[in-house]
Amino acid sequence: MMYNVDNGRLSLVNIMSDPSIQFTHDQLFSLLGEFAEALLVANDAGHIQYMNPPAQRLVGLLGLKDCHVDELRHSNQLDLEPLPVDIGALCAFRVSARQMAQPDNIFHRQQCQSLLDLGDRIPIGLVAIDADGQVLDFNHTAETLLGHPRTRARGRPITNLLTDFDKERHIAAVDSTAVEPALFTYRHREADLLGQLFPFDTGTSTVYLLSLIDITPLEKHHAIRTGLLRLMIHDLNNPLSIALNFSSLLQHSPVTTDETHQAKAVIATQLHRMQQLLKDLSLLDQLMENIKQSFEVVDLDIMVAIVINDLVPYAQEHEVNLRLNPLPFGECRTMGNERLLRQAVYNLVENAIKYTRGGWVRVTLRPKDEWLQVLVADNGIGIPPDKQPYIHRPFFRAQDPNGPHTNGSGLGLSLVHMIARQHDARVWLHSIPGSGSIFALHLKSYEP
Amino acid sequence: MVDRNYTLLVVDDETEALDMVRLMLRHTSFEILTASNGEEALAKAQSHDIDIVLLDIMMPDISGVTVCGHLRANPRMSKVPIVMLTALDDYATRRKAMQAGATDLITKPVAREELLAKLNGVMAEHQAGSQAVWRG
Repeated sequence: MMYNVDNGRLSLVNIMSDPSIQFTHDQLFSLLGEFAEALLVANDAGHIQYMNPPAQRLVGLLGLKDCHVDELRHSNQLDLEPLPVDIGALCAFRVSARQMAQPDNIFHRQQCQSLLDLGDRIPIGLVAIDADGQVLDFNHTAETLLGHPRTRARGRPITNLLTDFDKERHIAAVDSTAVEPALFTYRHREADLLGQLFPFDTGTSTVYLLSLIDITPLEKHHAIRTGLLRLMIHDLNNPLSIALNFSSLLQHSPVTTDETHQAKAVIATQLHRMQQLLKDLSLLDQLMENIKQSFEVVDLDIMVAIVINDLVPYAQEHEVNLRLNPLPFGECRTMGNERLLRQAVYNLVENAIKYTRGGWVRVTLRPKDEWLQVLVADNGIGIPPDKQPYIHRPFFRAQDPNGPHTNGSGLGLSLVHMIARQHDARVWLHSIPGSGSIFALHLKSYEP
Repeated sequence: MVDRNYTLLVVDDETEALDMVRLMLRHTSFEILTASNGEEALAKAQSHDIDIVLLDIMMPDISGVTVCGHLRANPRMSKVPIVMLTALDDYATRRKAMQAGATDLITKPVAREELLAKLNGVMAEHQAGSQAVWRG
């Protein structure tokens, strides 16, 4: 009976128990070298005579000397399983790495790995780094945030992946902080990340876990608010400056009767302008919060009729013919915040009147599929096509090239867009300079 | 010190602001020309002999910073002092104004005496032969 050695698939025990097969020591060692299992042969005193390549790799990897079986056993890192083979005065062993016992009270590297495995299921990035700032591993979310496959990042400095990470400063901050974890912000590939660093003592080394959260939306929100604040400062300062200077003129300079009238009118206008700006800013602030909790059924036809009624004097002042084309009562309902929706329609109609001199403004309510349209049309100055994409921006104003500057807080249309967004509504614009504009506010129709 | 009138081009998108400057500077050595937007300012700079410009930084169509840059690019205006008006007195604004080629900056609200002192000071330095370089 012949046995084929095929990369260790043939059992060593079967071979060695077949009396028809006889080996010299060299032949035996050569045979053992063909096996994938880690095998060694020792004499009856325990001195190792031969280790096959897998056994050599295993013993070498663990940094052990390969001289005596007892030495390998006493390392506590290897299991040696005696094989029941008759090879004379020699003994054969199968060698394997021992599973390490986990200490009770400290995190081990495997526990760290378990944490990272668990972390693959949560939407927070987790990066394990050593005290030298080398990446040990990170979870799937960190992979996405950092834009780097974890298999290629292991063993590399964290600063290669996160350039803002200051190893000395950040790790020192963690080590010196008794209670609170250290918080850092990083700018990484157009994203803003918030990081917290936690130390773990594994017994043999210190591992740091860096948690990462994408705070880009928060930072954008903050940037928008900062930008608005700067614009607000400018827009409050303008009327304030004008009012103060005209007031000073009245108090300290000789003025004609006409100049006195002009100064008083200007002061009143500028004060009103500041008041309107503050009202609109208050509304803007409210809109930054979630207002959907205040939604109720709103009768749009009644609401729009109230707006038209309020704006009739303003329209008469501007010599504008203001008309409403309503729907029959009861066919025009939506869910929303009545006060905000009324403000949105008010702003659209007021805007139309402001930019229309001696012309007309028509407000129409009509259904369109599952939507209700509030159309505000005018034959005013229109909006140039290159300006149309920006009309929703705070403090944007269209200019009448043939007339004086039109006053207003500059927030009217941006408020309309914000209110629409809060109501999952749409605002459409069609405008031709010199001919007029149509603003369409599409609101979802309410079906009980 | 002042032996002739100076033509001051005031650029601001607000009519009341232009009226205000006109009233504040009457009976002074400054003759006022006004422009309510950048385009108009550039046209007037081309058609008139301007001695000094008072320019609002924040305007809706073309910003004051852009207008300043365009004025500086015009050979007629390259050495004319430009004083920018701003509501925001911070480093970023000053730097923007400087980079655009402004000579000086003044923060709103501005009292008549302060405005007059600033304009006279800038003109005096300019007459003394200095280039229109940043003083702020």
